[in-house]
Amino acid sequence: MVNTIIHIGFPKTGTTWFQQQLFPNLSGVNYINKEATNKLIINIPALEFKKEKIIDVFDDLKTSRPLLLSSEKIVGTFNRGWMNGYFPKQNAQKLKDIFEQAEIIVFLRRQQDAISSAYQQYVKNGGNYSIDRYIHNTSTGLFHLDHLKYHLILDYYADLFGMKNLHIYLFEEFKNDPQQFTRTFLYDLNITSNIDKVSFEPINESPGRWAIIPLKILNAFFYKTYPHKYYITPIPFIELITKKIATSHHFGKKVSTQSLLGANNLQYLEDYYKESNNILLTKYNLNAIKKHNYSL
Amino acid sequence: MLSPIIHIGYPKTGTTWYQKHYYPQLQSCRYFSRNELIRLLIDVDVFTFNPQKVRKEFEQLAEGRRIVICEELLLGGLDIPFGNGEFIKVMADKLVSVFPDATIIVFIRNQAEMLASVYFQYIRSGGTYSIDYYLRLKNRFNPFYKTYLLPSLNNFKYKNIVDYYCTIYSSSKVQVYLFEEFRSHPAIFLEHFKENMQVQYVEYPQYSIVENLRFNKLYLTIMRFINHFSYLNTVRKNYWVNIPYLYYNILRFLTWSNKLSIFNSLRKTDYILGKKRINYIKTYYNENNKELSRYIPLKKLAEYGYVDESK
Repeated sequence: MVNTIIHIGFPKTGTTWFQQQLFPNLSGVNYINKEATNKLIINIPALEFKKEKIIDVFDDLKTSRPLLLSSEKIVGTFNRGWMNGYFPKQNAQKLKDIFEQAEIIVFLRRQQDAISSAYQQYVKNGGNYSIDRYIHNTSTGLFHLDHLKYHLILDYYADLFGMKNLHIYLFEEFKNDPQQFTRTFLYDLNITSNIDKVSFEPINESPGRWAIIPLKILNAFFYKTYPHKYYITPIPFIELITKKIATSHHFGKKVSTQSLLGANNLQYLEDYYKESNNILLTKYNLNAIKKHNYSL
Repeated sequence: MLSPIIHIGYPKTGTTWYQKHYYPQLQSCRYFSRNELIRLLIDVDVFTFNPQKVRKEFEQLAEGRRIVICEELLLGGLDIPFGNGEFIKVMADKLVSVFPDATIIVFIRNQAEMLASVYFQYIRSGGTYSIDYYLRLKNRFNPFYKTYLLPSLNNFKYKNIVDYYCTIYSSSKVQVYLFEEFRSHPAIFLEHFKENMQVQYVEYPQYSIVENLRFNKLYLTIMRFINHFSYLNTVRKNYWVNIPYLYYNILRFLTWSNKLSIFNSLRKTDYILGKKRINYIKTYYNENNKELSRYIPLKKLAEYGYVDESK
């Protein structure tokens, strides 16, 4: 099967915008949305995965336009755990089994900013560990720093699909000039589409800076299947209040990475990702990461 | 040197007994502890895992003796995520990359009995979910990730796992045993097992010792209630308020008094799961279990309640 494009993540790199605003509006591709991608591939138990059956499904979906699949779950959601890479590796193998050849799209983001954003998402979804505990935890079902050693997953995809089929983009470049970036991105992938009607308004924004502490306190008063959090005792309807707070615009601007992580964590992360980021530079020629202050 | 022995589980099939009383009694064998396996095999990220280096380290530690591994965490265990089977599959790939010459041992157990014991283990570890929610017989939360840390019925489709190991190892290297046979006739079973493994004992293993005796229904209910007052010892639970030491003290008392024979009948799977759930579980696995006849005679599977030949 040829002409397949797969957007694998990473999370916190504008994936929701791409999935909701851009991809459904591209006339030049046959877009398979996140829910369908997860249902057809990711959620299928590893030992019940029958590639022939799924290839048939995708054959039926084939048109003259290339297939475009997108789900950041392919590389694993940050707040559900890295689990030593078992999950992303198996997903990559599934994709290779189905699509012998495919163009792989990967978005990266400076780790410190990605962690800050993932932590805010964690609080928004009911978590309340401190940022220190969040960063340095070793639980299997919560965020792990190694998830953002991008070279681990990139190397594996390069082995499976070939270096030339790996298209790596930086979230920072997209954020600086979304419209121009999108045009270049589509040109690069050889997708012809009119994007005049596409909205470039951000989606899935982090809570305001003054919302974080109240959210963390209130999060202790409702159950949620976020296993990694502090509970005190359940109080009815608290979760609804937290949802209002998390999406309200009355709690100030977004908190900066620097102020959320603190100097010690920033220094720790600076050292932690140097080696991995240097591989991005040397092996993948991602010189732009210098400009965007990735740890080197 | 004889081929390494890798006993991958399942959990709740007597693995604790094998770990404590059987494998350490084998002559000229090096039995690897859980901590060693976690360090060398399990808690190593799959992308940087180097099979040659790991094999070398195992051999250095074995000092010329036969490598013996018995660890149910290789199938996900009960305290780490079962996930969607990817841990089990990728772990199998890891094992074959390090030990392509190994003999694989898989113990299975009738799923109704197995799930009753799995639930007991969960309650013993501090859990509070009901059987239906814990075993995902009912959906409390929207799948996929929200139930990701709970056991999946899929992962007890033994045939899928045995098939996968046979694919990567060849069927001659994979040996499937029934826990029920071991439990019913331990002396005969162990004699047969010893011959298959080509091992000798330093001391004859004490098979009369029972590890992790399942709680009776009454104690399961008490413990489940008590667990609401402790935020230990599992993350997959609810709790109302934490009362220090309560969990451990009650657990100690219940574990001690549970051994009394008056509770024997209340420990049975029928009491713990109830007939309706047992029927559901049996039907759920019947077809998959029938295909196990490639490895175990169908008559034996029927005898121990794995399959209902009439269905």
